[in-house]
Amino acid sequence: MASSSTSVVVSNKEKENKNTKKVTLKSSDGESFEVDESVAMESQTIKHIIEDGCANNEIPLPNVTSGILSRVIEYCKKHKEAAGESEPSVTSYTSNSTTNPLTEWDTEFVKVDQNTLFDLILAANYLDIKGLLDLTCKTVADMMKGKTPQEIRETFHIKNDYTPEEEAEVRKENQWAFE
Amino acid sequence: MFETGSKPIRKRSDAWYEVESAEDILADILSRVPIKSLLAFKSVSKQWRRLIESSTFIKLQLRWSLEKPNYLIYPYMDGLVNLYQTKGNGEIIEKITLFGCEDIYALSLLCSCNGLLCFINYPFVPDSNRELVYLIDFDIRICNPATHEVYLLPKGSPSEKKISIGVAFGPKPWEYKVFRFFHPKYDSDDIKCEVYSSITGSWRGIGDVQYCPIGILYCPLGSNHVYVNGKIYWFLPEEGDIITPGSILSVDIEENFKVISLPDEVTAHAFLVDLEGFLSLVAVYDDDQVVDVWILHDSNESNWEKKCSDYVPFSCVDSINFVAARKTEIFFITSDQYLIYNLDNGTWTELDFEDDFESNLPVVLPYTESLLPCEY
Repeated sequence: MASSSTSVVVSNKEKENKNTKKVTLKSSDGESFEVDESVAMESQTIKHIIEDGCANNEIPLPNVTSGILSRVIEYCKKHKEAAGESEPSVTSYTSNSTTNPLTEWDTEFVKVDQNTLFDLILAANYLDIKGLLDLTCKTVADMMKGKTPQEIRETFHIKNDYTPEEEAEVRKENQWAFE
Repeated sequence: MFETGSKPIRKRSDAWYEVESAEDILADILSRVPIKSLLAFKSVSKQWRRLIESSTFIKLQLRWSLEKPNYLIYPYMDGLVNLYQTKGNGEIIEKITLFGCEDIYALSLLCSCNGLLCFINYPFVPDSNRELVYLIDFDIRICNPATHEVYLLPKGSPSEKKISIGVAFGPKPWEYKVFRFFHPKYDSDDIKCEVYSSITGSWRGIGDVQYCPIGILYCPLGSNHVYVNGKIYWFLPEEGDIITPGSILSVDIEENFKVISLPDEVTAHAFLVDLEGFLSLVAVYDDDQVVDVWILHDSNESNWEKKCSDYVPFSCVDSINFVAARKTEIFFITSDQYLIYNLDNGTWTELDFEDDFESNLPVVLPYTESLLPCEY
């Protein structure tokens, strides 16, 4: 195993250009993805694994398939890049949109089928990537707005466990909310 | 994906992880949904109802809500209670009509916190044959416009002279206290205070107090106090002058009173607001057409910082009716205009609501939706 003693002498700038540390992530279906360590550390879960010194060769992610993992990596790369380039964005309270240049990219990123969206949520949750979790949860929340309870049940495959009488009573409590 | 009792879409080795995780994720998603939809979603399934009504969820929803506060305008004090929620750009995002308030005469909006509003009104005395009824006591209502809940507090102790109140929220998210200053005898200067707690549902006397805040009728439409970061702050009148503030009275949730001196002399056009979690004094000087904004950094000492001083774009002829603050903005309502002053860049923006509603004694307060109950 190559020792890293030479990195002590290397200056920061050179280190940045030549010795960017990489880490390998392995999906549940056995595919390996090599990424910059800094990108991988967008995930708090991976960050802790690396900091605890448990990342030797590969970090196995048994809860994330390769399809989803590649998207997650794409998200992390894009957001890491943007964070490095610009000042933190400031939300203007008097305007409708934020001044975050990634908003458009994020909106496109979540234009996926429902199953993929849910898988991204589960992955963001498991990998503890706040930005991705916020984005995906907000997308689903927006999907839910204005839907009737029956439409919600159909979209998310939820079983109605109320009896008709029970359901009528719950509805009556907040009748105005159904108008 | 959200099912915890039935078949999951994907198999996992650790079923309990999936169950816990799925409910956390569902909570995360639902906490970003508008409350009107959430109330309808209670009928989706029993699990959803349990989740939406749980205290952890209510806290989570409030946390997101507090990150994006809006303004609530109550423009017309007569008959139906219509509230208009707006962002600071003049766009009305929601009109809320409070039911159960139609027969109440002249409801006045006092304060807003964590999605709860406090309204007061002097009850109409129907068989009074005099034109002027000496108004002393008023009804106090706490309501949540997002859930349409309205709760009338039980009556306080009898008072011979005008009463004053202040509402404190906390320490728990659904605990609030109302402090009520009253005068047990007409011809003496005795002032007593009693406190209503939402937890006990009743008033408890805390005895004689030294100070009584400036009465509600002498303050612009009744907002004579502000609740900031664990304390209520009221103006105390100057010696011999019942309208002009001379100092500030504060009380914390443990019922400890303190008097804080003002940083400067002020006119009757002075207001107390919450600026990013600090008590702020907004003092308008009509003669110079200037507004000074002060921040109190340490509520234990009268340690004020002058945040800024700027010209006001309205003349002294326009009286200021109401002032509210949200993040780094101050919303002014004058007899003619709705104006927002941005403290960061010192700019004034006029908002136009002519097409949206008629105004008659308008009031504005910072507001966010929440699921907090009014009655416990």
